[in-house]
Amino acid sequence: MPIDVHVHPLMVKELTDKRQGLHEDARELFDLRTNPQPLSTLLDEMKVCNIERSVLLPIDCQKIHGSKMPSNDEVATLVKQSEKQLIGFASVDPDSKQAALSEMRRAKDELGFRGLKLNPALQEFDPTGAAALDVYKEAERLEMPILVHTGMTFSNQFSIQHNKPLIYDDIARKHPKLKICLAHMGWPWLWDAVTVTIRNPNVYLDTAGTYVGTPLEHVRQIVSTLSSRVIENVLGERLMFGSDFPRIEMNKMYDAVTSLPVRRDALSAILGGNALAFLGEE
Amino acid sequence: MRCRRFWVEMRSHFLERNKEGRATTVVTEKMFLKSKRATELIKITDEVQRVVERSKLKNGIINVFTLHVTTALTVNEDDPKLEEDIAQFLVKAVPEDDSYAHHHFFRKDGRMAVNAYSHIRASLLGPSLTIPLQGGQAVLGSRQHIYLVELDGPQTRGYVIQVMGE
Repeated sequence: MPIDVHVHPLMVKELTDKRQGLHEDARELFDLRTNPQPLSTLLDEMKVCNIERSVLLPIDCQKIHGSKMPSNDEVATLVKQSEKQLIGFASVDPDSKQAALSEMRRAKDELGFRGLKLNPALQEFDPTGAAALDVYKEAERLEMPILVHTGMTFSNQFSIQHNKPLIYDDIARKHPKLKICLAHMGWPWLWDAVTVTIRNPNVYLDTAGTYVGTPLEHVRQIVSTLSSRVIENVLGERLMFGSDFPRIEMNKMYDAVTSLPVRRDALSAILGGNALAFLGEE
Repeated sequence: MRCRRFWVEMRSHFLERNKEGRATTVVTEKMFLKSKRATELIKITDEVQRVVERSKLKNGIINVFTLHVTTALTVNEDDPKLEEDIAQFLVKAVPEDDSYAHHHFFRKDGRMAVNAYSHIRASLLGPSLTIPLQGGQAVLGSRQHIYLVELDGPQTRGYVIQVMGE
């Protein structure tokens, strides 16, 4: 079952039509200049490359930027339109402390969300601070996996100090039942992300995003850095397919990832099996 | 979730008379469609003919213009196999896996540019078509159909049909 674990419901027409300013906020904050497309465009992309389910990742930027991108409730309206194909993750601002924890509980119990998305750079919180540690503890208790942005961020509005993959080694060790995905494989700190993943069985990686050209060129760069053997034998059970849609079209990333020179069993796990484990479905 | 594949967003009707009092009317309609694949030919002959009928114009010209840099317009035979052949030819003629200067961080879009080949394929075909209008009909040969060519789909795409005449 191919799954895309990294989709941003950012330029979805059903949401930008309803909430004034959402489109502009996405442009300002993510530098995303593409025009809104209906939800059906995402579903069509999935169909083109036989992706059966996608994880929708909002980002709560209320504290710093005055906007939720989009809100958990807005994501829930999208998931409701195509429940078999879309999986909702919540986003909270860890610095809102108790409010963040109660929103996580609401997201799981009332909205049916499966996990949590965090982006320390964009949300401007310290991933090693007390508030974030409380969020990890609650996520572990609720059995909500977290997908956290690591590595490169194009916009230089934010520091990338908090995007370093090694930060999550201690967190993964302290919370062994909390599943953590280091998004974007921590690029360019690939070996740091791989090291944390090797050391901690609860840490996963995703392939989302490209930073050195097309998805194919990006995947080649990753292979040349890590080698096929490391990808299939070391990351074969922990690397997950993610596109970063709408920054990168899902079909282009799918073509790139399926070109990975790895064994079929490893590729099958990367495309879906590992995501099932991350989501707690096996 | 069910969606329409073709729809119209904007219509305008403009009439101007020359010194001899003859009227020239310009009817413009902004159209949309949803592509379903990365590269495909989407037949829009019926949409063009419907705009012509709504314009009530009998003689003049029809202009069809795409609003994107990774779509194009062409006229060809409406054989699904040929549509696939043309799509595949474009894919082979301009390969995806090549060294394109466009593939850099494109600040205007806030993302990596990853589709130079789509732009080049679109340039090969062109963004517009002009079709004669006679007797209230688009003048097309018996085998000719009008296509919007998707080169970076699937997406929602816009194009304009303008009918000018009397």
